[in-house]
Amino acid sequence: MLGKIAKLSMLFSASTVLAACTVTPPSGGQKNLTPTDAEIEQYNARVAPEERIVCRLEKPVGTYIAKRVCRLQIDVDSTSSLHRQQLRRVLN
Amino acid sequence: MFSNFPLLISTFRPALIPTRALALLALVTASAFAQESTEQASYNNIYKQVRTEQLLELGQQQMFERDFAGAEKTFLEALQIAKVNYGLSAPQQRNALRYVIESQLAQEKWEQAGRQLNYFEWLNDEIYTRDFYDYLLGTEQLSDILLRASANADNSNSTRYLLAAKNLNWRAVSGIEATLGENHVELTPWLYNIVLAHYYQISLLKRPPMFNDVVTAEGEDEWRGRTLAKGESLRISYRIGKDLLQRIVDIYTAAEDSPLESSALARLYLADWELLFGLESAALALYQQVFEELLDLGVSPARANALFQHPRVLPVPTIATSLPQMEIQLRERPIRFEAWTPNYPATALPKPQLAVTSGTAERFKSTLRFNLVPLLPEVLMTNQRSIKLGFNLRNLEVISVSPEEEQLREQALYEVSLLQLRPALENGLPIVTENVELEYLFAPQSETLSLREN
Repeated sequence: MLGKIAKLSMLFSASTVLAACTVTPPSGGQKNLTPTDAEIEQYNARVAPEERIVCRLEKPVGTYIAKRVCRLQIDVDSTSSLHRQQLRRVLN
Repeated sequence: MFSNFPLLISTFRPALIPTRALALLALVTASAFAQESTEQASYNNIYKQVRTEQLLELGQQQMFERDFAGAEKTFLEALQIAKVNYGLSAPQQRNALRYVIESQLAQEKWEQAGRQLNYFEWLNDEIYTRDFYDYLLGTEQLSDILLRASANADNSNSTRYLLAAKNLNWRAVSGIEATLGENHVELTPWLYNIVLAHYYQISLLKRPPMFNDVVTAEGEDEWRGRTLAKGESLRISYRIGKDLLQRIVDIYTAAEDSPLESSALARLYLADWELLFGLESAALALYQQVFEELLDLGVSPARANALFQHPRVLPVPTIATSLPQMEIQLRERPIRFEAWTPNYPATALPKPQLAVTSGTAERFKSTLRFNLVPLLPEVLMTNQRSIKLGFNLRNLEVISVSPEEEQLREQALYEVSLLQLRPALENGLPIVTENVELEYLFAPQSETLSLREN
């Protein structure tokens, strides 16, 4: 009985591995998930300043590997000012 | 006053007035009528369209005579006539408006010129829905004005104008994509304009004051703010330029109406871009590819080699995508380089209408000679290392300079050393070119600057 279970679990794990192999990853990988610099520039040329997007390389906490992140300029500005305010409150 | 005069005399009794006086009165009345009708006629003539053309001609003459304030007044009058005759959102205003802006820029009235530029943009957006091709025409005019404003060394907002011109070109690209499709050949000149705008942007880094890194020491920490921004700016401009040039190649590859050699020749500009950013090995591979593609298309080796037998100053201001077009561009000998502005060092004047006016009558120029020495690809492969090839100018010397001044000689040597050249190629490989002669025309405002320094 135990042997049967072991065989079944091996079969299951093998099929899982095979299934994992057939899963199609998003084309282009992480790099192509964010818009290119040209696309951003074209978009920014059409919209009002508050709707502009900025993309930059950021290193998330816990890793040295930088990741390209795109945000609205207005969000970047408001987050920065919020962080500055919080820091000032802590220091005072 | 005279308009009531005939009515007054008709109420008088003729018997009380002597005959001579009556005759005199009749004469005065007639002349008053004549004057009134002339005034009426001239009032009607004020808004005749032909007057706009006369005013534009007069204004240009005033610009030539450097009476910029007078020219502005004349052009504003012409603009008013166009508004009255055709309406506030009529494209006929653009010609006069363009000149108004030019005259204001010449007087360094940046704020007023900025307002007129905004009006031009609003007007052009109004035209977009009515006539797309007319909108493109207006966009090109406005882009030229903005680039010219950005080239003015006295303009403190020059970078802002450059970015505005670039954004305008992007909006034209978006418009063409929406109207004609994403792979239409009409896109290519606009895309190339954006590539050039990125080159102008990075050429700002070559400006002498930009060489000096501002280092602020706070305690033991050193801050080099500009270094990071410079690197980032270079990388982004490189990537965008490369994407757009690759897109131009793809458009010509897919286009059915274009000459067969178009995509191969478009690739040449992609190779140039790699070279401009110091990626010589990528550039060499692309030059080789262009050469082979041309041979595959049936172009004779002699004709293909002739396209590359002389070095060219990069970037090339206009894109040529057919062999006859490129051969016309190559006819000029010796190589002539007309510097555009001290704002963008090592950048050729893109087109005559973008030239900045100078206070000096004489155009300073110099003829120089040099050898262009690219290291051959074999060197690249030694020890499996990528070695920077460096297409260097060697034995650079000034043959003549006009006016003959030692300071100008040094200036010529410095400015030419900033130029980047496409090497001469034989069978797609770079060759050493000796005794290359270059006629160098200094940027108009650098003449003024050097005069001021003296």
